[in-house]
Amino acid sequence: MATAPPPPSNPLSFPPATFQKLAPKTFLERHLQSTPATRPSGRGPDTFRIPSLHTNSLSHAHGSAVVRTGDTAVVCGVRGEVLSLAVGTGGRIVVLRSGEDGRRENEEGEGDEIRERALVVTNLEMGTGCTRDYHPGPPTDFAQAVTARLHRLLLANKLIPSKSLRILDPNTEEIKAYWVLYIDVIVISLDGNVLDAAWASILAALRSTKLPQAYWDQDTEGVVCYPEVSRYKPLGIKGLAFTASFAVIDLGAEKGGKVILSDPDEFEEGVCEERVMVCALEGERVGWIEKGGGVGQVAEVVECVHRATERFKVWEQLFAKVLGSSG
Amino acid sequence: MADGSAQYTDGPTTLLASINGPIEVKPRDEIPLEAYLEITIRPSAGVTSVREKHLEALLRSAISPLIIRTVHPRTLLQITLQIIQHEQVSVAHTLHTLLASAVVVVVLALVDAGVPMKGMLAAAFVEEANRSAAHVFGYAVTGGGGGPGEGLVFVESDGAFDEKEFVEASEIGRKKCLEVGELMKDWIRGKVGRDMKYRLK
Amino acid sequence: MPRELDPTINEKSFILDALNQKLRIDGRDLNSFRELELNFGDDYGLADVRLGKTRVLARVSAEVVKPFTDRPFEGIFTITTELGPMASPAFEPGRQTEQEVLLSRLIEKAIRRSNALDTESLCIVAGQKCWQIRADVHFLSHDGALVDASCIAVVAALQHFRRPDVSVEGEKVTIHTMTERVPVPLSILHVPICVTFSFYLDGEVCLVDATLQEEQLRQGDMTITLNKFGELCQIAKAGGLAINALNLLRCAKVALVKVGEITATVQRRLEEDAAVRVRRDNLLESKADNERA
Repeated sequence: MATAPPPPSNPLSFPPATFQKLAPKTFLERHLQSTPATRPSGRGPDTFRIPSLHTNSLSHAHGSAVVRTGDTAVVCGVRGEVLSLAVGTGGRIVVLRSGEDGRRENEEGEGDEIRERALVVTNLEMGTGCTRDYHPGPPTDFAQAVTARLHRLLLANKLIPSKSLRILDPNTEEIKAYWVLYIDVIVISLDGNVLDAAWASILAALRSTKLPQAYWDQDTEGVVCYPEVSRYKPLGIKGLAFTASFAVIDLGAEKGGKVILSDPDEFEEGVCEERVMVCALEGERVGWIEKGGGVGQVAEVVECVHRATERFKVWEQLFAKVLGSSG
Repeated sequence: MADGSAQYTDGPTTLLASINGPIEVKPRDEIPLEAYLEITIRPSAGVTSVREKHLEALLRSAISPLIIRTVHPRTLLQITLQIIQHEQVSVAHTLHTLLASAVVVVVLALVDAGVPMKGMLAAAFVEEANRSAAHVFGYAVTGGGGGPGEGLVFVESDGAFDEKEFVEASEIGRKKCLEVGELMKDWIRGKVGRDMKYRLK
Repeated sequence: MPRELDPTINEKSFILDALNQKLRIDGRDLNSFRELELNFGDDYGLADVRLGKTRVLARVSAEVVKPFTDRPFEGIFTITTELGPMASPAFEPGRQTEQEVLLSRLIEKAIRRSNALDTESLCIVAGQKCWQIRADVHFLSHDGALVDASCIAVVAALQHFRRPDVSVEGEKVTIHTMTERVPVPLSILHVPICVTFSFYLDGEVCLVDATLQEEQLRQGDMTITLNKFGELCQIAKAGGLAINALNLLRCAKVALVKVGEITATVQRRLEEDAAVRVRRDNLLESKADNERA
């Protein structure tokens, strides 16, 4: 709040916190018009919050991660459960769509197998009291929309090799069962931009996930896991992808035009209608762009792509430090 | 018996949108200076799932900048989109094609309902030739053409691409949107012509 | 939430006076339906019914599930109805009104409980796998007679629907794609049709296919469900004006005629649609009842 303009010398003056509540938009605009442009949080328009990451903090999940950016903190847990293709009491009936023969040679269409069989279940939950607007009850539309986005990101980026989720009959190499990954994200504290933090936590949790080695036992007609922890195997997540979210505010043509705010916090998200989200991939490529909420130009999106590429490197370094190069 | 509606068929996709508003708003949703926008998407078969909520959020971000909500403060603007049929064959891009059609049909319904808007939004689906990426672009089109209200409102891109490919795709998207915009204007002209026949001698 | 606008006092007295002289404001006879328009979608199992300004869409879909443990030899058939703001702003999304509960129960009784669909034919492997047939009813525009229109939509969609063929080979059940094997129609045992009567002026005037305005002014109503053979499936009269028992017989006679007409229209439209499909997809040689080489 250090850069709040001094109130004019008339009897009606407020402390900055009151000003922020009364006229949030003007409050943000005044901040951005100062030189250099500074946000209420003290960050520059293109400054992201510094992320921190811990993995395997939950002892009963197969993989977990805690990610914190500023006052937004999320925890993600991954649990694997066995889905047997032979359903029913006798465990005999296998349902196949024509064209499938229970065996898959090709490694293509990884995302499709996971999508068709629904092998990944994503869920995002707002922790009690994580934000001022928290209401207990069923998931809000906002939480559901974020869940759907995370799920789409996961499938679209094809990070999980379906091979590591298959459980085979060791004799015939036939797929008898699958691992289903239940990915639960809980938002502990919400101060804007939940998507970036939630996505990073999912990725870190998946990279730290180790599943027991399982095989199909013909005698008992069931899936058997080796109990030794030393035989647990990682999923073999391929590649990296990181999202970067932006909020855009229009100050008007004469006052500096549009300002793109990286990694918006709760207050900024409440004021700015226009949003951009970019998912950066390795090799300066882009996996996903989402923009909406305001009339803009392509150049604006391109600027966001640049910032997202820079942000990717920050996450990449953090992941390398915490998870090691092996992932 | 809605205040405005539109039905749109594009190949295998048929959508029906209806608008009610401005109507009474629930006290919980009331906004002091603006109309509250409620968007409901109903799937053709089955119950509303997370997928529909996601689509609702995308649709909201696409159309809300075009609606002048301050004209009817403390009211409700209710948008219902019924998916009548939508191709399920290629799973990968169903959301994109659905989204592009949804934007068009909702904007037409908004016009039919006489909701005050800054301009119309036209959307188009663009796919890379090698199917590596798919984009949906939404451009605002206004009556006069080339006004300050025109510009990129909405992007939803998926796949793997780089900056150059994106800029190229956005240019194709812009051209397609302008074509779609012209079609939409024609439909509206035709509709107004029919509705106002009694006035034109 | 906004309520449906009630007719004004002037409208009310005008409509009731006219009814007293056996006249309806849209010029119809007391015993005549509005023109029934029935269209089918590109996909199988999509029926779009228009009755004047009332428009109802029914969508039938199928998936393979495990049957209920107490009924291992039967498939599952469900009908879902949800009145949304599209039909009228008076309907809130996600909250059931009393009208909606009554409506969904009426349709449920008319179609599901009258065994219109042979659920035993949906069994694939007893106790293990069966088809679940789901009919979703969408109300697109509400101008009265929702029960009658949705019943027509559901039975038309059920007759129009084709499910993928399956083959059972030992322990494996294979679902064949629509292009690989000719999809199979559902086994429909009979076609129930609902006719709703509205009563006015202490039961002296009785009419069919009431518009929304007429429904708002009626003193009582009764729904009779019959099939074209004159077999009675249900009679529903939930409160309202008490009517003379003889009136019921008169209504049943009218209903029988109406059911005949409606069944014929549905049948004609189904045949027309089939003809269009044959021409479009060149299906002649792959028809299921053709001799197989």
